Amino acid sequence: MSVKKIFFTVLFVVLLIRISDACVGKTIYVGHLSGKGDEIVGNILARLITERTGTSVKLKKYNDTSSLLKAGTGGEVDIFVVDDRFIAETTGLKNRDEAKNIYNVNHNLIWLKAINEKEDFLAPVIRKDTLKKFPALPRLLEKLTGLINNTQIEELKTEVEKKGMKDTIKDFLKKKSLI
Amino acid sequence: MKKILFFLLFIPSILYSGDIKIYEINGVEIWSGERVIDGIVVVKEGAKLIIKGGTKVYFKPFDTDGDEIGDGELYVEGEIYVYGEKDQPVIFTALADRVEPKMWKYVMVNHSRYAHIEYAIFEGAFSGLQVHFSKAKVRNSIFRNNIDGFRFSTANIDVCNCEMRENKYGIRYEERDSTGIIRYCNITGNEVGIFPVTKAEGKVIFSYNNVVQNEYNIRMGEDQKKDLDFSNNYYGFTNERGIRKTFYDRGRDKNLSTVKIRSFLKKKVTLGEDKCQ
Amino acid sequence: MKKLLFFLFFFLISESYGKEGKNLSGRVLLDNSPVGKGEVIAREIDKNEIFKTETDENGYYNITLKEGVYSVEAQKRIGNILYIGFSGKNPILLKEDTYAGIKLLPPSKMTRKKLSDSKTEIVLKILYNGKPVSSARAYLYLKEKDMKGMPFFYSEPTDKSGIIKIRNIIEGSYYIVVRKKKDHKPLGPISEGDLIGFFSQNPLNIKDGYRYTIEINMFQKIQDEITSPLDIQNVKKITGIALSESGEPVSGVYAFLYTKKEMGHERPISISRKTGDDGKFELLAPFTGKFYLGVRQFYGGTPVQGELYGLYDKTHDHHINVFDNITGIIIRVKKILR
Repeated sequence: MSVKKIFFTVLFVVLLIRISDACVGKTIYVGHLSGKGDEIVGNILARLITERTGTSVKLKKYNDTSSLLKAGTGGEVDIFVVDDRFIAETTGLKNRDEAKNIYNVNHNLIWLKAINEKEDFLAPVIRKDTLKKFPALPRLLEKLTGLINNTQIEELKTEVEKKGMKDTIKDFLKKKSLI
Repeated sequence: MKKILFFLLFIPSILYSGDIKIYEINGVEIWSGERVIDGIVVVKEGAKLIIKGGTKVYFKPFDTDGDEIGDGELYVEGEIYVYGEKDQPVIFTALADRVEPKMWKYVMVNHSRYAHIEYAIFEGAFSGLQVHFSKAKVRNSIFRNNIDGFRFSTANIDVCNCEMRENKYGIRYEERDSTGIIRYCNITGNEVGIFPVTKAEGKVIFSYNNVVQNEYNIRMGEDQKKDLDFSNNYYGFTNERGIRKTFYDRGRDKNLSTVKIRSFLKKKVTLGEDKCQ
Repeated sequence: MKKLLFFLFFFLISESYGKEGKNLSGRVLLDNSPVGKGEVIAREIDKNEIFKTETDENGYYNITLKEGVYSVEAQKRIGNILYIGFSGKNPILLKEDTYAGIKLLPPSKMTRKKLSDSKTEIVLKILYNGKPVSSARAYLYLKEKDMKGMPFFYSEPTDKSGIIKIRNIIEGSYYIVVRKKKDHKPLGPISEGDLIGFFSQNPLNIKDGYRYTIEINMFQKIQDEITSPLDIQNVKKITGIALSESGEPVSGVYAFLYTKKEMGHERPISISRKTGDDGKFELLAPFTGKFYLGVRQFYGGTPVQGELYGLYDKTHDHHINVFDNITGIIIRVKKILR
């Protein structure tokens, strides 16, 4: 068989065929570390995405930053959130811009706009392949800008003890008018 | 519990897809009594499935792929005729004492010539009924306790005198070139009553429905670009301000499109099969 | 010792067997004139290994490379201008001897200006033979290997001045390609006569708060050919015919192959050329295994009412197990919702 023919016919080419999201649809995997605060942030992302887009979202928990980064690089998770500790542990860098570039070049991961720019810095990180499939995600997650900080997470931890994760997150997002 | 179960009597072929049993229907098949589906029943193109009034179709809950959604389904590429009666509905449910959403996958009508559903109850599914690339007439049916009650895309649908309640989404759709009408339905007690996810242009008309007491009566999808008209329904309020509070649209997030209501009903719509003539 | 030498010799022979180089050749032109002593650079994508050669007085070049995926470009300084050209086949999967002609163009110009807010803006001006090109689109890719695949973003068509503005792209690096297709469809294969251009400084690193003004020159595609960056190791051929419900061959449809049952949640892994009057199609599965097979009339987007469409019907979920070449597939086609 001529390879030219292969070139003609086997694609990954300039086309895209979609048959529609019949069945149960796509699933997005949100990764988070095992700490309570990390779990809360993961749940906020998951709930926001699923409520607003109708996409199924599943959470995956990891014990350390390198495992979570590896899961993101390898495609086991689509999105996770990094803070300064995460950045330092995975890149050895304090400079966020440099770390961002390393994530992009070495891991095919894109940092979305930080949802907290201050000392308790938080930025969602997304796989390039996921971004192609869900181009609306950056705009959606940007809505969390300024809403999550350490104080807020501590408050949510207390609420989770009382009401459970599901209701706490739902109430939080509703109160912020995000769902 | 259900003590007497009549298992599939006429199974032209049983295949396996991984660990899942596949039952193919190739000719004309008539169901009555009680049926248990412990895999996927496929009504092949050119085949016809007729389900008589009073039939109970139980989907055995099983999840081989670990996605927390039951794998049992009825997949129709041929034709399906569900002839329930007012006092003898056809029930599609999970084989469980306590029925919860996602115990089975769906009744999926895909690339089918025609689907006719009347007096059917869909419960405990991921989606009670999904219709894609098909023409479907749905009458006098109840969709309850599912994730999606009724879901469709690229379809010609005629839905009348149905009830969508206690689902996550009463009606969820990606319009994508669909046409049709949804009328005289009670869409109530769902987290979201109507959810146009994306690609809707208003070619499916919703009118004379009671869309009430949902957490949000209508939520616009993140990717739904065009404003949509949902006039002539009853939303539980007699003023537009009250009604607008039940929508999640541009009024709450400037990036979303708007639910338009040029006119709305101030009284609850009286339903009944006579309305569907 | 002799035994050891014999073993080593044998080992080296067997190691090199099957790994002989492939010939990449072509001609470099500027305004349709051959470019002598032009530099041709083949860069192996993802490995960042660079191989160089020079054109002869007639503009021809020839370089032997190991199998791989390459980006091929040429350059030549004439006066003060460093002319640059890219193969329209980039990225090139070099699995056999390959011809890649290159047209040199003035390099892309770029300026960067700080904005008063944290938004981003890319202003692209597209030129062909120095004149603005309307109705061209810009395609942004996150990975170089994707440059013939699904873009992360594609723009609206350029206006009469050849300009298109792209706003609020998230920070990151992007490979920019511009295309003007005769069929005006945003997606689909490039045909002979279509215009194509590459940002000569790819990738563009975008930072929040800046406007990037870029001028890109296009050239005309002269061969109606699609190439692919697939890593083809174990290709199997699937041939068949699309038939109408009455059994007549159906022309003008594409056969497609997916790896997942939920066709549409991903790109197809293979697409045939359009069927001719005989309704015959040929697909290539890039590896063995289970695929989902069908045919449809249009490229891109969800199938629409009235579109010719059909699925392989010998299995309940339309799958086909491909472990060897398969012939004689029949797919019945009908119009959706008609």
